[in-house]
Amino acid sequence: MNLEIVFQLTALLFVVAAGPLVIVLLASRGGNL
Amino acid sequence: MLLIFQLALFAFIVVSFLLVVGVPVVLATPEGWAENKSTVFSGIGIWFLLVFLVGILNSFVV
Repeated sequence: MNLEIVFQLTALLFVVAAGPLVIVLLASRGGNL
Repeated sequence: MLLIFQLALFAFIVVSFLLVVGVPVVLATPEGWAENKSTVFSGIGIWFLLVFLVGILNSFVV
């Protein structure tokens, strides 16, 4: 598989994962959800 | 020069991700802003430095 495709999919994964990660971190730290 | 550019771009992506996740967490955590204000400002400063660094290095590799 082309390496550029792997990098692009990894970048997309970071963007998609960022949102739920914020929710999980705030929930674990008792943040103002 | 290409390696420096790629490293700077990678650092820019990492810092951007940390800010995207970290800033809302800090702002919505009780007492989070008062305790982590300097860290957030440092991250924003590094982010702007990397923007210009990547922009300058880009003209050397293209």
